[in-house]
Amino acid sequence: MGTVTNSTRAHRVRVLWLIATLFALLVAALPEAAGAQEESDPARTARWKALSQAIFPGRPLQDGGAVIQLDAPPRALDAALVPVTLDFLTNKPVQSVYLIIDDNPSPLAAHFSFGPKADVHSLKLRVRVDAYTNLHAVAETRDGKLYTTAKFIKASGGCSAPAGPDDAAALQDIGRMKLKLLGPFTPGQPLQAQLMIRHPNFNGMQMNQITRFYTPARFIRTIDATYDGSNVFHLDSDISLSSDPVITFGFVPQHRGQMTVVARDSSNATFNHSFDIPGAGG
Amino acid sequence: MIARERSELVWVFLTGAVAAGAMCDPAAGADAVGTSPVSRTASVARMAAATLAAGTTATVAAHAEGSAGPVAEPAGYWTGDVNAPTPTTLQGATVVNAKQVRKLLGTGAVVIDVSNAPHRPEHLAPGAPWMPAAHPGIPGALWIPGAGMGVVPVSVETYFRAKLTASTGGDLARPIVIYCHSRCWLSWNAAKRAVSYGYRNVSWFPEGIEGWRASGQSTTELKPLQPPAASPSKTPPAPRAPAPSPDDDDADSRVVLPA
Repeated sequence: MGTVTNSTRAHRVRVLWLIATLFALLVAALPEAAGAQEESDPARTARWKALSQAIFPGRPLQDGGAVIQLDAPPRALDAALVPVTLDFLTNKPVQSVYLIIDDNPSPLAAHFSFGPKADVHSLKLRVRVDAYTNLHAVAETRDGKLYTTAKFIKASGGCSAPAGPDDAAALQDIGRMKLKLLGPFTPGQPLQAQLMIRHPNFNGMQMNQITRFYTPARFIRTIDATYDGSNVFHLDSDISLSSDPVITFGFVPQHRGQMTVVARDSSNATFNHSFDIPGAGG
Repeated sequence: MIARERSELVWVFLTGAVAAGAMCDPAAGADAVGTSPVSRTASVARMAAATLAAGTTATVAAHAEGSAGPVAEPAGYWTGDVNAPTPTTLQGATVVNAKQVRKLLGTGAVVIDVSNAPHRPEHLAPGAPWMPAAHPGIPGALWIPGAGMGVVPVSVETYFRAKLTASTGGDLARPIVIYCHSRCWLSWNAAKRAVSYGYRNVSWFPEGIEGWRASGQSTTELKPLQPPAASPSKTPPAPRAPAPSPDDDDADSRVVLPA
């Protein structure tokens, strides 16, 4: 490998880069016509009907376009890390929200119940997606009514994607947490915060790269966030939450205080951490 | 160094595009069972683009590693990432496309799907619904999950072998077609395994169920066939020991090809 080879290599890489970009654009541009059909497939409608009956037996679901908005990239780059944003559009008080990934084998990904300290305007989380699927968000208002909205996304393979090259490394620092405030702290004003928890969230479908055996499931089942002893949210989650969960939520701090987060996983391990709000320098 | 980083960037970028375009994992695009196929032209074009892009990915990645050319056949079974670019050949087997698979079906070929099956993890909350989506397959195919693993549990291997014997009536000349998903090594491994058992007419269908559907063929819902006594969760727990070297042959858990 002399200098001549190096310049040839650099040139070759440039050419490949160009070709690669062209193909990537082609791939991105082509499937839209097909996508429309996949999305409106009657099998998807039947699937949602079966799911909604299993999760909300006997309860009618209303169109939630005016209540809740669901956002996710239509074409996820990493199926194991699909960012989902839920925005609540009305003044109707929402007491809880469900996120359902229709074609995941365990479709109910998350159920957030909001407490008195919550600011229910926007919620973000990251999930695993196993196949081209509809996502459904169902908001439950305080009068017990259910409003739903859906979005079709293209991603696949997230459920069997390995969390990392090494299971032991993935379990290091398990339960470590960070909380980041996303705006200025003003007493009495809503504030968005981003919670990060170190946890591999093994879903039992990831194969160890070396042994080729399934890594046993170990995933976060609940997260409770409280501010000054009063509930912000309770989350029931499942194997569809991405590894190292990141959740962005809103709350209303009336004064300086402490946010306490308690997470429990399927091995009955409990992780908790308290954060000073607004924290150092705030 | 810069060139290398750039190559990797392309690789990351394309992996995303290909993963999204080529639908490479279990039940991907399980939108329809027995419903009309998606827009044929768009799908074929997409498959072509995805395949080309996958090829480019491989080339660029290989380039970054300092070697060149398409993916080479590994000497043994592939134990790396299951959803990755595959070789275009398989020694001892024939590589076939969707049209050829349809022809082979007409001649009474045995068709085997070796895609992964979702399995319910332990400790799932009691109320959580467990509802794997329907698995669309080539009509008449036998779905034997696990038969394409790089290192296969004894129970699964015995079962796979027995199913092949039963479905071919012990006829080593009977045509066999093995597939899973596009850009997926499981079918490559399983086809190689079938060749090692002495089957002389093994066909590998690398385009997988995505290619089958894109060519306008119908599908039926398949149910996984698994050895009765040992499910994947009953396989021995993952050892904590360091990775075995390729020379550490464990005759109990994998087939060793004659040199």
